[in-house]
Amino acid sequence: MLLNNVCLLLGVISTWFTIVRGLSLTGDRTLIIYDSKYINRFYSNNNSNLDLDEEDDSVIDSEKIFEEKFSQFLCLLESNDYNYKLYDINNGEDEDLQIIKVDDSLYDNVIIFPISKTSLKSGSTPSKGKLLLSSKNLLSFFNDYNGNLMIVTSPDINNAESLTYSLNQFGIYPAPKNQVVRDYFQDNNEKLLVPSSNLLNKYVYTVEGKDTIFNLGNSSIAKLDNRAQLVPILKASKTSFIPSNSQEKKFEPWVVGSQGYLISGFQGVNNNARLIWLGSSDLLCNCNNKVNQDLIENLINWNFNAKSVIKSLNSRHYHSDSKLSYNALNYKVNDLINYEIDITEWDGSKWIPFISNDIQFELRQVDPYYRINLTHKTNVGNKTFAIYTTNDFKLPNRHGMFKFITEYERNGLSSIKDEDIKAIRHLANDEYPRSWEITNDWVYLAANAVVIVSFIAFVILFLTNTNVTPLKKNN
Amino acid sequence: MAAQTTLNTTSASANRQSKQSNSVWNDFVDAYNVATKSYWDTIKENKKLRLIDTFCLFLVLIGIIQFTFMCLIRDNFPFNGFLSGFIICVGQFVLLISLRMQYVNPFPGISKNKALGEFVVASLMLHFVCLHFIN
Repeated sequence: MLLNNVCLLLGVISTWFTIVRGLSLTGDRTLIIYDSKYINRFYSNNNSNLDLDEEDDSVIDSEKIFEEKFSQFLCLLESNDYNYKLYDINNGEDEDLQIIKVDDSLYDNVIIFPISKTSLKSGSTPSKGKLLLSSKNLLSFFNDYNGNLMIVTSPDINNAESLTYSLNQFGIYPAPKNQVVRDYFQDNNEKLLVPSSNLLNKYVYTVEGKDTIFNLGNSSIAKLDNRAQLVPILKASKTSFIPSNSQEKKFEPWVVGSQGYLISGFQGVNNNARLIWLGSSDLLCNCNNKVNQDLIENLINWNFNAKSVIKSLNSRHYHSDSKLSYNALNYKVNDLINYEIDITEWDGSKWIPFISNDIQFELRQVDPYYRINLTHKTNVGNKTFAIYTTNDFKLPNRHGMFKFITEYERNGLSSIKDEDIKAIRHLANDEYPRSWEITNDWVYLAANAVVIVSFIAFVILFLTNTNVTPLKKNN
Repeated sequence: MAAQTTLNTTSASANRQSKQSNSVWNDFVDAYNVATKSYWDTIKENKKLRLIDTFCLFLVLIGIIQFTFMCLIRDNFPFNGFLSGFIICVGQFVLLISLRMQYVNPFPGISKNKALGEFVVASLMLHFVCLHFIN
């Protein structure tokens, strides 16, 4: 109750003072899955290693602990209008929990806190929980139902195999257990401080002059695959490393220095669903909330499609002289054409014009015949979208099926692909210029005329002359 | 020593070769002279043949002029125009040559007048086709 009040207050404050409020475009139904054993072990105050299989009370305790330790994070979700539901993976009561139910997803966003291998394996875990977190289910949720995922792993436990397997499918390879990142140049306590200059993507988090330092606590590190869909968000510092722990005899650090990433995103190409992997649950914890709040809010907003979402509203092309569309007057080779596209961006509460100077239009028939930088039409004002135009261009001297494509894919922004296939016809037989209209042709016409005239002269001379006359003349 | 002998032999063979080539050249010149002489002789006697040959030369000139024009402007844009102009020259040339062959050496069973008639009809067809092709 107190929590709710605080959230309400925070929400009111945020609506009054901050303009950017992340309203998700894709939906606010959020499911938070956590592992009560993990929460109890690392976040309960008495810090004793509880055996949680004993009583139900401990489960209720863990929910309380979770709400208490992550209250700021939950508040942030609430103030951004997300309806969240908590689910403990060890809780046998809620057997019906599903994220996909008969061809429909029941949630738009799923946040998964660190879940240990043992809790998924132990007998107390309901089979539904296993099914829920199976990599097949998660990948299908992401791919087929446009669900957004936030997966948090921890370096202190053996993370559930299905989670790491799913992450590997996305090209994210988190370090194994006990490989905790440290950076003693920043701080020699048991935590990881990362400056905001390590942020890599301006569409996820824009660094506005001020340098802040984020506290990631105990953090895991990941290698990233070389994929265009991956959106690296926060890299490790040059001076960071993984200290060996004495328990292991053979120790090989997963990565060294700035090779590794602490936070990474992934965006589906076709459905624009987004995933964020966090190497540290301490990042979201109340204890670090003061320094991390900005980052967390930006991450949530990006993750759940509340920012950096762009789309094309409408694209059209027409004859630039008569303004007639394709349907009114078909295109033929060498016609002058104008192409326009409207692009809009979601700023968290409303649609605004998306301004950029690197959007390109392509006219393709297998290969691009044209690749034109689109220019923003500033004179036609509109509050919700920006109109981009190619200005006039001449269709190539080639007939056939052509694609009018605008493909805009930038790391961190949702991708735009707008294509239209139209036929460009060749000239009809009476549309070519006649020979005498082409000046070059005059030479060849003259040659024809000369040959014909001289032929006539030849025939006349040939008939009038006899073989006898020249002999006479010669004589 | 050995090098010298080889040098000698090579120079000798070169001499022989030059002699050979000289003789070939002389043969060629002789043949050419005989051919031109006989040609001028036939022409002198036959004014019709002279007329045919003049026309042939004229056609070759027109063809060359068109080709150089196309090379100079470095564009074959009305390509059908060029083809039409060039082909009318070549075609007319071919027809003239066949007419000439029949005048010099009439084919059995075809009179000279018939040959001329065929030539005129074929030429008119050629002109018709070329005029259509240029447009």
